[in-house]
Amino acid sequence: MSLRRRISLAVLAVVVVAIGVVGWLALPTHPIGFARGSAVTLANYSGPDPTGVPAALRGADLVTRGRYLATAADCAVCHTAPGGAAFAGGLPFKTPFGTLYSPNITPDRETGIGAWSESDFLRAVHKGVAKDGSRLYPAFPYEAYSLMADGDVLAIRAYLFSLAPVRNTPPANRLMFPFNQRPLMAIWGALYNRDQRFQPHTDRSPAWNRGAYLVEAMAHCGDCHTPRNLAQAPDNRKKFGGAVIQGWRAYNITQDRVAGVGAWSDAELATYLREGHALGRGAAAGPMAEAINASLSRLAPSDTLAMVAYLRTIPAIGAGDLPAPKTELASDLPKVMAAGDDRRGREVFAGACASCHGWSGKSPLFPHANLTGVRAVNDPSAINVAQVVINGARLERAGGDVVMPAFGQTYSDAEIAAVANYVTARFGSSRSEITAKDVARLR
Amino acid sequence: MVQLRTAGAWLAFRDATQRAGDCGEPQGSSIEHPEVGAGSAATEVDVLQPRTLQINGEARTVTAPDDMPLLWVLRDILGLTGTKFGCGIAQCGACTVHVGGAAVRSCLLPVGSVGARPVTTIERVGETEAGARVQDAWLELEVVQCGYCQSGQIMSATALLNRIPRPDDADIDAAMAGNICRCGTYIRIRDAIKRAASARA
Repeated sequence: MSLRRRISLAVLAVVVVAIGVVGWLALPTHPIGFARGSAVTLANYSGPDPTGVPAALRGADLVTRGRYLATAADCAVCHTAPGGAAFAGGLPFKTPFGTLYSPNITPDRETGIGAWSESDFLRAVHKGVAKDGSRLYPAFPYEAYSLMADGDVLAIRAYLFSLAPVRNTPPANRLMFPFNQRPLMAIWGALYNRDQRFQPHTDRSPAWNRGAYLVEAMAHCGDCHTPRNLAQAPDNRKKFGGAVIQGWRAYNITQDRVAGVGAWSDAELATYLREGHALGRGAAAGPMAEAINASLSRLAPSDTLAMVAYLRTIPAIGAGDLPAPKTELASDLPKVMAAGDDRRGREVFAGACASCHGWSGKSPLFPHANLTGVRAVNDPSAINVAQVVINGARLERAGGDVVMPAFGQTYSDAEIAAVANYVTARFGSSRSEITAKDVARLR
Repeated sequence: MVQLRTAGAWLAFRDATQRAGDCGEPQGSSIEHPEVGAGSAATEVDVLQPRTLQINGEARTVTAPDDMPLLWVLRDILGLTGTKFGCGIAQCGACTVHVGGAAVRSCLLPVGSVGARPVTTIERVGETEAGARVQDAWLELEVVQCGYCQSGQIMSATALLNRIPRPDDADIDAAMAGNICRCGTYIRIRDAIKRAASARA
């Protein structure tokens, strides 16, 4: 074999391996692929319909049903800017490729979707293509919404069209080349959007099928909780294994007993989904609190239980760095220091945190403020502890909101890093090492 | 009917602040949770049940919603205005009272979570053994400047001495760090706590 031939063979081998690696890293994966067994089309399924609204609303008018479904699909959170009109768009999404702004989906004819026909709306939700034929970015989770039944999509449209039109043009996207080329998104869509409606599994319970529909087609939990592949599509080989998104850590919600929610009871999971808080497990903040406030807390109890039934079947994935949360309380004597406590963190904690959270990790004020057992406090990255200190938290409740103030304007990056490390050392199973630089990046 | 008026005021305040804090709310809220909006305060007051609290050794019956902070009950319903409102977010310590013997920020503590635990306020803490020592030391050392934060300072100091009879500087720092004094009486507070500790009977 000539030298030239050997070299070209070697180059070919390298190229083949490279294509293989990239292919593996960017492989399209099915969100419900873990549930082997027999999936059938809705038309061929004889069990109770897993799509649509819960039984109590079946007889309601189209707009009421659409409102429930729009709530379950959590449309408002992304399509509403802070302080802006609901559904009028303009919320920024900071991505590694630039900033995207959500569009106005009120029925204003010029700036919203008032001129969109039923088939325009169906095409956008299922295929990621706008009325004018332009490609939508996958920040809009159409790869999840394409599981949604046509009737449900049209009910959501009817609800949106029942709202007052709001004249609002969100800012133009600021994306770097080549990501500012919308037509390229057709490739993404072709690879990662199956454009296939939800298929019930005949060997699973009606609750499981309803839960699968709600979790995958509506709540699109995987968009935050599933790590993304090279092409920024959810990598379902690590389904619900946890990821960092918008600067917050969306935790592992697989059935792993150490890193995930496998050790939570059904009641704890259901309470967390409904109220954003489960005693001894923690309270939602950041993007999860938004999902609780605008969507999950408003679902029918039967739907919450169905989601729990489905989540129970997600295969366990261990996440290397997440230890089992420490459950024993710290000393309620402030002077008793944990290993690695530092003076600055302790001083910030004494002045700003101890009044609500207590020195033991059990709050003297309300259980939402307990620190013991909370996943964020038992996360050696301390990302979410720092985020909650910077941004505060708000859980809406019929009986009055539960609020933590934001301290981002009050303390420096170094102080926030110090108090985060103090909190993980005192109340968690291992001390974090977050730095002032890390905190600056989270702001 | 002062109580009912105050409970109504709290509900109206709560609803107003919640609406002000709203953003991204779809119009017409949820299906399962009826909307708490304008006009609902009156109906909520109508269904409130009276509750009995142990305040300064006496059983006091009040009508207030579960989520009304204890501070509102003390000041506006019971007229115990010695406890002060400072920041409303547990960051200043002016509202400190004892609940079950522990120093607690009453501006955030929901009255529904107090239950049968005894509540002590600045009005009667001087009748407790440690409270009397603390107040004597406060007077001897002329701790007070403007005085607004001092109810809270005395309540925190008394809870500290009940817990740690001979606190050192580190104990005092940690226990008192959440009580802010704009006049800067911190040095006298520290001295007074030490004097109260050494005056132990």
